[in-house]
Amino acid sequence: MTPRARQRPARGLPIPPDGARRVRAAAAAPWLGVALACLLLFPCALRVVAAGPALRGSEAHSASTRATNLWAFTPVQRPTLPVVPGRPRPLNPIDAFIEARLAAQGIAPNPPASRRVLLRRASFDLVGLPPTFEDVQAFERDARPDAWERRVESLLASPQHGERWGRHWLDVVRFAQSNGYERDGEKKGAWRYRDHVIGAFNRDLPWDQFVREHVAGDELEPFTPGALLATGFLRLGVLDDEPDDKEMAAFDDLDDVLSTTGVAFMGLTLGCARCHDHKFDPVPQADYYRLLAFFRGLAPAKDVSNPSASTAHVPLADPIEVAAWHRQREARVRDMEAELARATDEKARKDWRGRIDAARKELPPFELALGAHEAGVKPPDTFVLRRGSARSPGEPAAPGFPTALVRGHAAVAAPADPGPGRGGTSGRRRVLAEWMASREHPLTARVIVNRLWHHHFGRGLVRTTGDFGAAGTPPTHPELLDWLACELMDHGWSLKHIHRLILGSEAWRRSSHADPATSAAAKDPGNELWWRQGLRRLEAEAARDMVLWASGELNLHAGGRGFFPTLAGEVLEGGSRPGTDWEVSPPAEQSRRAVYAFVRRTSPVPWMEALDYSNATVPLTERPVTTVAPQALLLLNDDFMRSQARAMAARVASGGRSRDAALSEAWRRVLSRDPSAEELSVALAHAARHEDAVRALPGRLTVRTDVPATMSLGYFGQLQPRHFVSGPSGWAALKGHWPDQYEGNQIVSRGEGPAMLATGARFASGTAMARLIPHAGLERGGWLLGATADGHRVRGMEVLVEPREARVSVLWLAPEPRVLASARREGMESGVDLRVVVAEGRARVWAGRDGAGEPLMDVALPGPLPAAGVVGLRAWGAPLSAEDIVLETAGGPVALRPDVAEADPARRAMEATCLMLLNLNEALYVE
Amino acid sequence: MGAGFTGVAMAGLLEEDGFFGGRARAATALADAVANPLAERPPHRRGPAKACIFLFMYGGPSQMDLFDYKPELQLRHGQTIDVEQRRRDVKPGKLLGSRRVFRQHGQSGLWVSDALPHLSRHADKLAVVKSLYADSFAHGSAMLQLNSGRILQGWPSMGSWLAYGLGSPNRNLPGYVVMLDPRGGPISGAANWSAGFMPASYQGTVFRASGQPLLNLDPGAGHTASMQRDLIDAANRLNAGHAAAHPGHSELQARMASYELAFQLQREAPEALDLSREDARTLELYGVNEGRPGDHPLALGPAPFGRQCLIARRLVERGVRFIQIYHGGGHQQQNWDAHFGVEENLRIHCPEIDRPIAALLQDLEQRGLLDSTLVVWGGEFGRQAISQGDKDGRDHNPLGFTYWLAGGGARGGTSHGETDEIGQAAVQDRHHIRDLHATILHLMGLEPERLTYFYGGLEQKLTGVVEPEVILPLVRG
Repeated sequence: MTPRARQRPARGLPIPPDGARRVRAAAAAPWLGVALACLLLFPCALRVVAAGPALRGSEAHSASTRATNLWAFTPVQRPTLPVVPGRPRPLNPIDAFIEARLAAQGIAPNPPASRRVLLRRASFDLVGLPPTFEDVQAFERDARPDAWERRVESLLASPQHGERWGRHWLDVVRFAQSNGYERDGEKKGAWRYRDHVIGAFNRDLPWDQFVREHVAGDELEPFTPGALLATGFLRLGVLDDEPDDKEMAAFDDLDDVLSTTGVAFMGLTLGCARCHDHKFDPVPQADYYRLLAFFRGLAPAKDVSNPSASTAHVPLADPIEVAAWHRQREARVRDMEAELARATDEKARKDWRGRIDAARKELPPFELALGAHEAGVKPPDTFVLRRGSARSPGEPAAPGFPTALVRGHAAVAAPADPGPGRGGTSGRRRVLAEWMASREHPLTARVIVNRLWHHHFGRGLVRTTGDFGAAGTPPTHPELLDWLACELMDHGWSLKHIHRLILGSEAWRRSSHADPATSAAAKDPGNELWWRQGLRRLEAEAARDMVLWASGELNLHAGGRGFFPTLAGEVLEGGSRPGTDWEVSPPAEQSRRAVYAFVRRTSPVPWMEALDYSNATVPLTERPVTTVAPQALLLLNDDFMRSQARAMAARVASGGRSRDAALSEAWRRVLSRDPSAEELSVALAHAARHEDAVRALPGRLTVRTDVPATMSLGYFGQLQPRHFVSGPSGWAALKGHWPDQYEGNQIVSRGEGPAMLATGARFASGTAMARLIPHAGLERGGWLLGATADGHRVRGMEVLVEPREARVSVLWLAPEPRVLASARREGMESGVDLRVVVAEGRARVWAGRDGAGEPLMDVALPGPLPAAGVVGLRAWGAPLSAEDIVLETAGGPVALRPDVAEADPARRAMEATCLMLLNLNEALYVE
Repeated sequence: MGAGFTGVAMAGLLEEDGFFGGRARAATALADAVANPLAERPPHRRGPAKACIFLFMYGGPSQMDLFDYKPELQLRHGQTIDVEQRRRDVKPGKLLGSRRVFRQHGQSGLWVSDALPHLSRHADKLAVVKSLYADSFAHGSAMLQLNSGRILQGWPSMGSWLAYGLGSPNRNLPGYVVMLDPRGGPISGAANWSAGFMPASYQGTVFRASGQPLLNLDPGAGHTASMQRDLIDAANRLNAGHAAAHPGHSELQARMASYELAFQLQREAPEALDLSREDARTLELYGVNEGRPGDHPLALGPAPFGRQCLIARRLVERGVRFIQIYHGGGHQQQNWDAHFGVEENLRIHCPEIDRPIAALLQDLEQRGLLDSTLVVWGGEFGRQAISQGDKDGRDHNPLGFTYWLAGGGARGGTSHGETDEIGQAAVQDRHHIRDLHATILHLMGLEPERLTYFYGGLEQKLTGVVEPEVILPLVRG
């Protein structure tokens, strides 16, 4: 036994030494066991739990003495502008705050970036897309004094602005379109929330109103559909539709709402106070339950995938109108019931009964949206839950604000019965919303201006954008943060006003150069004082959008349920029912901006994951930036990248442009500039080498299977044959043989996977030669001869190579595939030349094209190959390539080659060079 | 940090036309120096285990039919008793005695049933704990808890914690590898190997045991490795110019290096799957060439799992830190979820794992790897002592179930903890699964209370809020 295995408390925590033992002893008592099990759910430290009983109900939280010291809880006050010695006025106030500190430290800030860099930076920052080369040139030539302001205004007015900033917000509210957990059913209509957010950023909806609507849009006067859509926020969390413990699950859902509200709007990690007083911040457990009481009326979400039965969906209409409709229907039902009572003959009675039934089942004539719904004006009582357990209710908790946040200017207690909300709700959330959106709230304005700063510099003034508490980091420039917060509130809570201020500052416009030789880099290597801009890698969405923009394929269609990015077979097979609730979207849909990609919690999209977006479960306040090899693999080899490079090559080379001109055009599309002579020569040399390499490959044909061996029935049913297998254009795709079903899955018959047939390349007898090249990982590669399609199954003969088993076989594919002969053949990984002679009812197979020596196999065929039979290929596990397929039949020799467009070496060289450009650091980093 | 880094010099190194290995080494050093989340990190103390192979029996294997011998249950077969069948849902049920024959094995005399004849020969290597319990009766949340410590979605899985805590010695392969059953993935799929709130680089990478092991490994139709080499060279030549004009940003060099590593990965990952260099005796041992048995349409025989176990050993040899193999996929009898007949379930699945696991233990031992490789076996919960349905199935049961550890510092030939006389609930030396997590971390040289990650205002831990207890009887002294 290692003594250190006995765990000791983390550094600095004042935990009674017997606390842990008390809990361990408690674990043995069954009745406590359940409560303790519940504790496991919560991300908090044990020892406070152990100390819990002593603190229970106590308002006198030791941490509250720290409240006055915590900067974030103090009222926002407009600071006086510092004077920067030697700087002429007027100075952008942001620069006054920044430069006063730089001057005090003797740090010389960077000069402004070039106009090209500035426009790219502004464009990525405000709309998430690069500027055109022409825009950059026009800006560079624009001598008007307001040239910059004009660009900023035009970007702020672009409808793409909301898509960019909406996506930032969707991270914070853990937006997804499914429930998570086992079934991960769709949250129908969740996209309306996403579209609402995008619209709100575009319209510059005042932030205080944005906040109010998110928390209590259904309770506000006057009613607006947008306000109701905003309450979808309360319904976005993960939802276990088979909870082990229903009572706990209901509180888990409420906790999710409250915790997310805390992090998103107030920079408070309220979830920490669910089981015990907050360890770092002055938020006692009682505050948590007082806040929870505001949300207590929310009906627990049920049946979210079936809106007409769902408790999380509401009619997208004024609640008063909806109530009126219900009243009218009830009146109609009452009238009909009276008629029923009066009716005497059985036929009429039956008729009335039918009509009454129909009226009762009638659904309101309104669209349904994810939103807040309360069962009535009186919510269930709220109690402080001891140790967070639903089965250990303590003292009652009335709605109220956190003690530390209202000190000095408002009552802690909120009216428990504020009068019903507009839709017959308790009206409580409205009270919370008004407080959160008030000027007195110390956090709301600070938190949002800090988020704006974060996305404009790559880092917030407060680095921990979701935690303004004691465990977060303090602001680098507290006065600047407060000044921005005041500007926001004094300008109608307009976010665009803050964007203008920031982009108008010299601080934002500085170059990002970090030359270690400068004294600024030596004095402040971490750029804590903002002497330079950040160098920022594009997020997953912006990177994908940039690629589509450069290729010319970007489809700016906005809104709606969204598109489903194609998932490779390898990705689909990770699920227990691969493809469940996933759909097949046409290419034009898949060329839309990434913000419109469907977000399903258990179907991670590799593009997003590789570029550091992985979590739609809890608020994601800052995206991590990692640099790992799988990103490079994705950007080099992913089908999406390959097809975008193809489209881009076609566009830049169009109109008969020379290669030089085409490459310059490619540079302009990707980097908004022309290449230098040296850069152009690197690209030209690459293109030339690639072209030579393609020429050296004799007409290579490649087939690849794109589906896993098992798929959910629903997904299987959507797929067209071309989704099962890809290969040379002009060849026919067959799905293969999928005879079995089990538990909602369709299962392939191993060995009879998807295939492609070269329609027109007939071969029933004679000699066939080919070089088969397995790609790394190929399990089974089939060269089909005399092949015909029987539905989606192949009939005829198959020469099967299994490189891992070092085996070549001849199979006859009717009625079931059977092996006629096998032979051992080592070293096929690098390719194998085969010669097959079909004559006089026999098939003979040689290694090598010339047929010298003994054949590997010589078998009698069970029957003749059909005259209409053709040549084909199939591959399982990895692609199979074939080179130099030559058929010598009675009609003379025929060589199979890829079609001209695929084979064109010059065009493929341009594609590869475009792909290379899209992979450049300069393309993926914003200076 | 980063500002003083000699990025330009390293970029120059990358540009040199030195031999391949030199370039690769330079790339590794560079990527480790900057922004590499998987750079190797020292453990808290010297742990016996350097790698872990977690054999996850998805669906929940039946403890009383495999390791937890309950003669009393067999005697009382057919009796009706009241049992908690789902959370707080107590109902009468008919006891179902195991039809398996139990024997004691090895010097230790561990009980193992005749369902696992090959594995039972290695009884003296196993440290069995029969008294685990967990918190959920449902697959989805139970799987999440076994993997991440929480029944809620969104927390990092154990492999992520190990990758975060120890990094990975092999830069050309992922540090945390997941292999799936050919019949499909488990319920909730990727949520089980998620990195939760940690950066995505710590999540499990699905490694296919056949075909192409990793996503996007193939350069695609008409592209050869030399074309790819050429493309990377051209890109990095342009990148070098860009980096030189932007000194002080080491991430630009790191990204250049990542392309070199990607190129290596394209070679090395498929090589890990290439069993052609394994001798015939080894292949035979794992059952890699066994055909599919004809007695049940869902049964695969030992070949697929055998192949995965053998690949796991090859990955351990190549420095992969954590390998999780899911045995069983999809639903119902496709995995250990024996609602529709426990005998039928055992007949399908035991022959699939028995030879491969025995082979893995023997092979690791012969190669001197067993002491540094921890093998973990178990599912998301166990099963009920009572019969379910008309085919003598068994329902889910998190109240008492069995895991075993072998190698990597585990005390072989140990049986620890007891369930009650019918095998239903843990009663003696009970351990919540956080204790299992703590034990695994402990053997890997990490202290469960010190392995923390700051998120949401707190230092988060795999083992959560209640202090875990390393199950010391399972640990070699």
